[in-house]
Amino acid sequence: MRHYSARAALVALLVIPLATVALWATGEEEAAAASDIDTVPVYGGNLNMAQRQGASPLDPIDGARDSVAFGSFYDLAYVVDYLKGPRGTGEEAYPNFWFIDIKKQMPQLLASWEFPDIESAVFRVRQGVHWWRAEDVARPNPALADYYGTELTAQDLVDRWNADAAVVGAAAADRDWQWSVRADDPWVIDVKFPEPDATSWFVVTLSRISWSHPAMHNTEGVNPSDWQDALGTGPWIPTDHVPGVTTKLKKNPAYWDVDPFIPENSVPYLDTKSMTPTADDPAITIAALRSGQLDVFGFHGLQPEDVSSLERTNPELGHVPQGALLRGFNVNLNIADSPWADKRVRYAAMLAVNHQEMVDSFYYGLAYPGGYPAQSLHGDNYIGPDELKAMGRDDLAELYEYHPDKARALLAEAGYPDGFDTTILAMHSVSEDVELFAGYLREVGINAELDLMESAAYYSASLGPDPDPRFTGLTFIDAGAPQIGLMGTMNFHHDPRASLVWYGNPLGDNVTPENRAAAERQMELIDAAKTAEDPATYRELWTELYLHTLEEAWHIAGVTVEQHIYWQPWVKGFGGAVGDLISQANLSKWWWVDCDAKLSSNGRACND
Amino acid sequence: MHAYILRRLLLIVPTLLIITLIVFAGLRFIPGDAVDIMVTLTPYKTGDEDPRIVLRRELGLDLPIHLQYARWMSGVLRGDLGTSFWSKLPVTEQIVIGLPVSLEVGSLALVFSLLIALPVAIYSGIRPDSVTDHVLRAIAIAFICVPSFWIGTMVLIYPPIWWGWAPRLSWIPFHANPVAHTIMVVIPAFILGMWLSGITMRLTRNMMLEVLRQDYIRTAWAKGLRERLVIVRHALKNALIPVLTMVGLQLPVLVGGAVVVESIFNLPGVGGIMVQAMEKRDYAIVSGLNLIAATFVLFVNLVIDVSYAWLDPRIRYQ
Repeated sequence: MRHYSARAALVALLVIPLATVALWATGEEEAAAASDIDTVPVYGGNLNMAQRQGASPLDPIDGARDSVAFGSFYDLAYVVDYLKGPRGTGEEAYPNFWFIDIKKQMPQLLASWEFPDIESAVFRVRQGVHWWRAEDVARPNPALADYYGTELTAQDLVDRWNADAAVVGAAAADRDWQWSVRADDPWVIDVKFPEPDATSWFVVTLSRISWSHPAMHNTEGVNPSDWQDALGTGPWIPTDHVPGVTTKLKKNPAYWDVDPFIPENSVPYLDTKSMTPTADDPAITIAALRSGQLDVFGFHGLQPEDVSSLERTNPELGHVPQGALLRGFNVNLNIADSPWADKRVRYAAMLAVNHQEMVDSFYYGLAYPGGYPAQSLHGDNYIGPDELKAMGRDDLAELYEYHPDKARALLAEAGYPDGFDTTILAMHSVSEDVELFAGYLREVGINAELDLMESAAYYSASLGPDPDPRFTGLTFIDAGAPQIGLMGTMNFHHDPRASLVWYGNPLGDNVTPENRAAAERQMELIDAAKTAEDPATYRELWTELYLHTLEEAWHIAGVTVEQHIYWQPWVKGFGGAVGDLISQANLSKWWWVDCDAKLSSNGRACND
Repeated sequence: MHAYILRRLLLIVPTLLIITLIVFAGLRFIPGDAVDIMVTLTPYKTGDEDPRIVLRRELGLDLPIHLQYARWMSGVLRGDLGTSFWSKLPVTEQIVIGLPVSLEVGSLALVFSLLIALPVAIYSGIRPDSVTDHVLRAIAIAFICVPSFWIGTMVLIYPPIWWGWAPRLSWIPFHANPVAHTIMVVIPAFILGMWLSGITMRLTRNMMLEVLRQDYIRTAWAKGLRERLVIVRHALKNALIPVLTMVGLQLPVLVGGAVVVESIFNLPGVGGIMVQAMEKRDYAIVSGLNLIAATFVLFVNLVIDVSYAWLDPRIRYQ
């Protein structure tokens, strides 16, 4: 008997791994058709979407906001043009970016807008939009009793703007715009800019505001962080919210909007929506996608190897590279600190990196060489190597190429024939990327020691009141939009730390005397572009700024890494139409679920 | 005994004060600051006061550390653990969400570990060096060697590839769906329990071997007592004293320290809350959770100490 037990254990030890390998191989061969969005919309069902892990603030006026609930509870001034997206003409090519030009947006709470000059804007507020009714919310707050079910007014938006502008860190807080309701037309808002601004600042500000009722923010007995006190006009009303755990929503039965393709259809199509915190852990996200527990995923987090793996195992999943989630990485340089103060050293570092090899070998081909100053998916605003050559700037185009010998020669010319020692501070999350990068630098003699730290320590080392003098760093940067007004999220600043913060220049100077003239020239170009009303002039200034920034090589260009958005084949009307995460939450009012497909392919009920 | 318990209870107060003070101050000295992270998400208005200064003031971080601590402690005494820097919600609210989850998973893991470990250890103890003993010991070592996060990760990776199935990853409260909730909790608890069972199994077996060699066990055999009586009443009860100490110490670790397994299975327990709070330097949450965890550990230790007297009548507390 004892012999049999031992033998059985031995057999099990051999058989289980073999069976595992066999089953794995079988799973890889499964394939299914891709998603098709051209089906007739149906009502009902539940949609599971990802949300960030950890409790995020629900107060829509909060600088630390990262909640995808905002676009669900509250409507936006405008959203990405759904008519021109995948379900429509497709002319507005997705992927797109975080902040899209207002001319390419689709009116929502603002029915229309115009900019008579570079000092003012005129917004017309949509009529017939109502705040949620008391009978539809989970727990009506008596303090808001006078506002439930009332019609949205222009004054509501003005009051909401002013409430936002009063809070440090809120979306509107960086704008001294004066909003007022026009005396002779109660549906028109006149906006006055404090100084001429021809850039797209307004796009950022307005697209980041979730229009909650102003009474939420200035009425005693109302807590804007409490989901039960939320009062919006949005398509989804919260029915349950456990911070960091789950958010459940039901459709607003009295919602004002319709399906733009079938105007007789009221929306939302879905009965309910659930948000599950999976977004920060690739393993959870992938498991949830593979098992059909997640219907739509549109966040940062999946690495190229994850994308490659999902393509292999789950070809039925719809996915597109997502511009809004594109991440460019660059190595920021502390140019106030020698030897990086010398432009030749910065050029040497650029030439030492084999961008194409990184793309091919490390990022599975799911990336693009370069990423500084702008990224290759930035359309007309990107000036790539070919265009640089066409302009006769072969010297700049060469910076994206791999020339280790030239790099060594430049270092020698700068007085570092044997190279030098330096430190790259970086977050743990990018340890592999930065190690790869440092490897290239070491090959030409720049001995880059890595100091990896957690994100909080990294931000303090770079942005704190007493920054680490060794500050350099490898940073992933959101694609943003390469417009002058948004340059803070990009790389158009002589202080490389600016790429770590939102727009603006809070950091002061970070330049050596030899770089000061170049930095001042850069700021001049930026100021000039901000007041350039004529598109041709703007373009001219933009090009000059671009070339100047590249010429100065404030950062070492890394690569731009694709991020992907995923959806299950039973999710219809979507097709990857996402502008940003807030829009995504709002756009879900136009999506529906093919319940039969969900049940047959995944065994899950429509309302699961 | 009562005087002993009272004295131990009174000692908990200064112990907690020292622990909270160390954690409170330590948090503020480690590199990284919530304000510096918030600044990366904060738009600036040129000419305004530096948002860092405004944010520090709003969060109460502009005060000297001793005043911050005094303010926090005065809130604690009133039952207010403060407000999260990020979610702006009361810390107690978030602990109330996470603690039951961690307690449930931790307790279940402990139950699984004992259910696996004790029968196996007893059998191995009374049949040492048999083939079964060797196999069971090999399994015990395998359970210890294979980390629970690895098993958890495998459970999360392969079933979705093979069968399109994964453990449920969105939290379901018990009252919403008892069956789904139980399945969701049982899998990570079992995986955690497997790891624990290996350690418990090894220790219990060794203790059983030790105790079974004692004179009083020989006497019990000589008296003609039944095997079950000798093993369970005389041997096991004495063998369990060190095991109980270890198991008792495992419980707080399970509740607060099962971070990785909680994270793998997307469970909203306190471990995950603590990690995220540390990452974002949410001092209020970390301090609050630390206070709860420290209190829990101190009380569990007290219960363990008191239970010795029940297990071994020779132990007397004065």
